[in-house]
Amino acid sequence: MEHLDLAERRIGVVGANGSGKSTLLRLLNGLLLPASGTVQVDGLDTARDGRAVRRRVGFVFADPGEQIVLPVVGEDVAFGLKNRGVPAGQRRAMVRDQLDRLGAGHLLDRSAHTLSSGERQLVALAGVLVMNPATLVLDEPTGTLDLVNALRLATLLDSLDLQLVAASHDLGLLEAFDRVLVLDEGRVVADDVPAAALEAYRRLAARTAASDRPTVTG
Amino acid sequence: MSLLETTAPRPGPLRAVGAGTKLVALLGVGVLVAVVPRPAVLLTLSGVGALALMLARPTWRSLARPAAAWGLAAVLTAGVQLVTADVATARDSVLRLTALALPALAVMASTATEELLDAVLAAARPWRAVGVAPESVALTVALTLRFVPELVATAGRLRDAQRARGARPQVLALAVPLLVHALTMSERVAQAVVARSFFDRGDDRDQLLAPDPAPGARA
Repeated sequence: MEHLDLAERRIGVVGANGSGKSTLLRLLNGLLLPASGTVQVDGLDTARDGRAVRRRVGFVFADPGEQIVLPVVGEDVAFGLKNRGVPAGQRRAMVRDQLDRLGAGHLLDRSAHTLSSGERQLVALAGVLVMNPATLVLDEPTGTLDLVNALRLATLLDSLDLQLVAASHDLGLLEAFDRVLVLDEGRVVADDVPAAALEAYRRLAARTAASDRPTVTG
Repeated sequence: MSLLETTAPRPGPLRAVGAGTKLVALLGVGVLVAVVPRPAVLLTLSGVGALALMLARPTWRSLARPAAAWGLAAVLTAGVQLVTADVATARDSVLRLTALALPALAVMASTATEELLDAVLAAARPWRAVGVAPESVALTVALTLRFVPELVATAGRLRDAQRARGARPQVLALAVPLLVHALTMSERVAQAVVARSFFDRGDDRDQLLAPDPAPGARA
């Protein structure tokens, strides 16, 4: 990848499994560092300024359950705030406010392992949004959701006033984005508005499926 | 409220007691159980533990899993002791288990996880001089509380999958995939902990409350 600028408000990333989507996302907030070259966020080098980069870029993982690290919802949403030294009273108010804004206020005292997939996604999102990031990176945000929850999440993401970068197999989600990157074997093979990029991805997927078609002999 | 069921603590007399004080008291109970394992002492400690649990005011529902776990452990312990020793030894073993479990449940039911972590952090801080990272100790406790129920659920799914394929229940057949699952999950959880600023600890409230609004990433 060379000179890839991600400046649009909503950017989608598609590609086959193993094409490098998750790697690209992890590069954006310094979870992975490039073997060569640099990744910069607002002029900050992810290798040198990891802390400042993570303050700007929130990350929602493919399995939100693995992102919830404390056993009670309210405590988990407060986890990042506590790490950054926000006082307890202010923390509680911010957590309650964030959960309410996502329509998840009722989950405040719930045990994390009793949450449904949709609820986990909301809690994971709350834990990131409460940190007020400028950019939100999502890895397969609808991967564990049913259609109703996926539509709800799409509406919610659309309402957020921040930059979104999402890798997804949910092409419907990405149709409303501003720009879509198509990845194949670690390279950007298409980079366009959603309609054109997704069409390129469909053609690529069809070609790959045809070339890998199993044959029956005997 | 226990390792198998952590819920938010409810208001009550025990809730007001500091997490550190409760942990020290729990340690004291452990020492007494180990040093003075007489039935009268164990019965008294169990009674005090039951009273403490009542003061913690847990919901009946939240007690179901811990009660089941205690019952299973008690039956197994008593069974082994009955076979290898005698009735008195089996009785004392169950009493020891009860004398430890009830106050532990009371502490868990009346203490928020973050208070517990702060207490663990404070207790581990003096050990920094010998190379122990207090934050890592506290994080280990937190992740244990969080992920033990997840691993129990995963074990259930693995068992169901094995049954569906006609396999008889075997400890090894369950333990190996469960271990593999736990190890792969731990890698992802570690990334999540980093992403959520655990290792960026420090006061940067000002930046948090007024972040740089200009987005844009360049690779």
